[in-house]
Amino acid sequence: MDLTALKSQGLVRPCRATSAPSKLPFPFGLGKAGIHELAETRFGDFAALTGFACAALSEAPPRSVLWVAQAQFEREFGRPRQEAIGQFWKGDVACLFVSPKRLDEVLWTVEEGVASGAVSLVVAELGGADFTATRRLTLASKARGVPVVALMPYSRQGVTAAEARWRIAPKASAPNRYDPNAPGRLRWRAVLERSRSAPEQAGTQYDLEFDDETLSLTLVPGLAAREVAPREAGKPKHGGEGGRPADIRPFRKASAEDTLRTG
Amino acid sequence: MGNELARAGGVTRGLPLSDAKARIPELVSEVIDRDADAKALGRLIQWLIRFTPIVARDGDDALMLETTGCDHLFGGEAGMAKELRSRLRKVGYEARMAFASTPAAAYALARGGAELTICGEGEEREGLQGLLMETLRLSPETCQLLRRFGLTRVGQLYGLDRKALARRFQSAEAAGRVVLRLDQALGLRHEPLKPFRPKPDFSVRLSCPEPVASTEAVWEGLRRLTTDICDELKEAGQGARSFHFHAFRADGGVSSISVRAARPVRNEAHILRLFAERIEKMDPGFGIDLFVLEARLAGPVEMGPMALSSELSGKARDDEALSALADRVSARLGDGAVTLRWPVASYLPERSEDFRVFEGVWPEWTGRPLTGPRPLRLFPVPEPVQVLAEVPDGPPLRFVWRKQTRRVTRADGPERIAPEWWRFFEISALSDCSVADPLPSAQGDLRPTVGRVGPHTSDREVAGAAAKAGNSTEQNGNITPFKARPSAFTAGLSSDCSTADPRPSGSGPSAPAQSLMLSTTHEQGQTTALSATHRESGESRAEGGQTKKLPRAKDYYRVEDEEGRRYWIARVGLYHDGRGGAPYWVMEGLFP
Repeated sequence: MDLTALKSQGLVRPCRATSAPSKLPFPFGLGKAGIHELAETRFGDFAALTGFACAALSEAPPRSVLWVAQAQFEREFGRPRQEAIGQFWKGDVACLFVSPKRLDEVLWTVEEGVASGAVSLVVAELGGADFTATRRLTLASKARGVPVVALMPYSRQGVTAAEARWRIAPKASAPNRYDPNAPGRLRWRAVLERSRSAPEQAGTQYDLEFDDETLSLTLVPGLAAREVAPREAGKPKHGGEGGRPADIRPFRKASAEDTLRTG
Repeated sequence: MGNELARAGGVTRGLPLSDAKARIPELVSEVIDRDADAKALGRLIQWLIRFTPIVARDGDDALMLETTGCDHLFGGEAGMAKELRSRLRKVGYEARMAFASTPAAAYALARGGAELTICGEGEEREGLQGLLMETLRLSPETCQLLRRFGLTRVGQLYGLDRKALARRFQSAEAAGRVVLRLDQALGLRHEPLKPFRPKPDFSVRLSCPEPVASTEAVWEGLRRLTTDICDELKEAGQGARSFHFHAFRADGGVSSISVRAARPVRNEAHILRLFAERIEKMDPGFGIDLFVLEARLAGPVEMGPMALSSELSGKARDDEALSALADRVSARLGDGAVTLRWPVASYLPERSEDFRVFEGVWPEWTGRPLTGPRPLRLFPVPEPVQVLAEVPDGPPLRFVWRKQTRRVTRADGPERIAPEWWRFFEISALSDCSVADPLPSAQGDLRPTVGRVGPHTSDREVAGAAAKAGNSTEQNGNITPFKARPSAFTAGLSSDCSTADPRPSGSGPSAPAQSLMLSTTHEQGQTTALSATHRESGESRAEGGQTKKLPRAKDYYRVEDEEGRRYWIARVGLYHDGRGGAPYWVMEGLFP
């Protein structure tokens, strides 16, 4: 069998030398190796946080997940439902759930999950983690190539060894084109507080919308009525929420009637 | 029951206390504590596993040990008896013992024979010959009858013609029992033992020449036994899902730990790693002289070539590694710590995903029925919410949850999910004969309906939707309003439905201020007339007794507040559904 035949079967992939690894696309390494922290902006944003984590990983969804949740979060914000998670990650996800009571048990379970290499992602809902714990997890995660996504409450503080830290808040959902009084597509405001892989992006604020048909996160049009690219910090918004919500997708031709009705 | 002296004085089992005191005035008596006896016997059984894996309880005061294949470890039956006696004596028990080939013979010999009787294979006839008839486990009446015939010893039964024996009894049953017991004793019929603990599938033991007490020694014993049991499992081509490690202390105690695996395993390192989390719970006491490792829940091990990488293998997950991970986590955090969600064919959101302990099996998630939007996080127990909403089925406008008022900007719903009447009747009401009345109507109307009443957007549309819903009820029972009540109510209910809307349908939009009121106020104020008609038709049918116990339908709304948070709120019950007071609201879950 020659090389082209193997290539056509997808068994051999051309190896391309990447020149500048720092130019990571939007989630900036979320769902790759290392530990990424997502924190609430205010108390009660935890469901939005969970949703954002699932949505941000929907590009390359994990196939097997260890979901470690400190029991207090299940009490306060409910239990994550596998069916809803599966809707973000189109397809059959093998999800194991563990809910220890204490923080040290959560950290132990996360590390065990990472070290086992059995899962392709570990999601941890935990009250907080200090530098030592996160450094330990980062090293383990990089060694085994299992990413960790840590969901934390608004009260998290201190320095950690995480790859990136996000602050997530829910945003009023997109206009619903079939029923203007009903909530539409999910929207969040995500602030990248710090990032090791893309330090120049730190402090940027993203207004994101999740398209549940294509399973992709897009920047909300109206704030960035240009190609999908992060809006630079400090620049004024185009349009805004007070004005007409421009619900225009580049790939879908919105009729004038549609736009008028939503406005 | 009395001791040797008492028995010599004529105190027997079943004798009234006053009679016994009359026979021996200086008799000391005490109330029997059956529970404590049973507990002590249970502990003794645990400990006796050092002699044989199968130990059965025999009444309140005896134990039955299956010694086949075990006695040679102690130098034959005589050696085993000596060892047993000396060890039992050390912990304070005097025992009468008998070894025989059948449980019934052992039973009879232990009670009727000498302090220690060893009855070899095929010697039961001679051994039992001189024993009293009572030792055959016959009822007192049967024994009395046999005594009247002059049959007092077991040996006398041997020569009797069985048919002749049966003829002497009034009931064939009693005669049959005599024959059965005799056959069991002589080994002509099989009698299985009922072991206190099920027999392990595999079991290995290691006795120490001298009692050990250090943790390192315990660990070393466990390591050796694990190697042995893994060899045995490999030979049998099997793995096991549960391992029990017992350490028998020299002072007569036993200390045990056990681990479980999600899938059958026989990997030595893995089993040891699971035990390592719990080994500190072992209490060596003054020294351990015997270790036993048992394997249970044996099953075939799936062995396959290892995939080089998950991308090439085409399989999304590595089941073996996942099970190993789950085992380790549950060894540390407790059995059942690792769960997965199992799809259940139910529209009820709280029931559609079942919590199950991970046992190496994955469910199939495809082919689930399409449902409306479901939240990402669902509360295990729905939380109470105070809601301001239009009556009867408008979406929430404002609600108080966790002491915080939130204003709803957008809402979607309701999605009505009816309770699963068949489960309710299965569980609670089948025992109650009065259910016969609601059942037929329930079968007709209480289908598992998941329907949308229609988007309630403006006042005009509310009226329209209500009218639409009313129409659709007549055409199609599948879509609301809910008619879960005895058929006698149906007439009253449908009139309720048409008038329950504060605005007469078709009269156009009315002032919103009129219809916006807290639901409870509405219930008390405006519907007095309606409930009066309801009562007229309903009260004679014992409505409060039966119908109120029925589960209520729920209307679910997806709402978004000013801050952009999205909730799933449900109204439990409908107005005038006759199943309790006014409907109430609960927080069911959170959308991302």
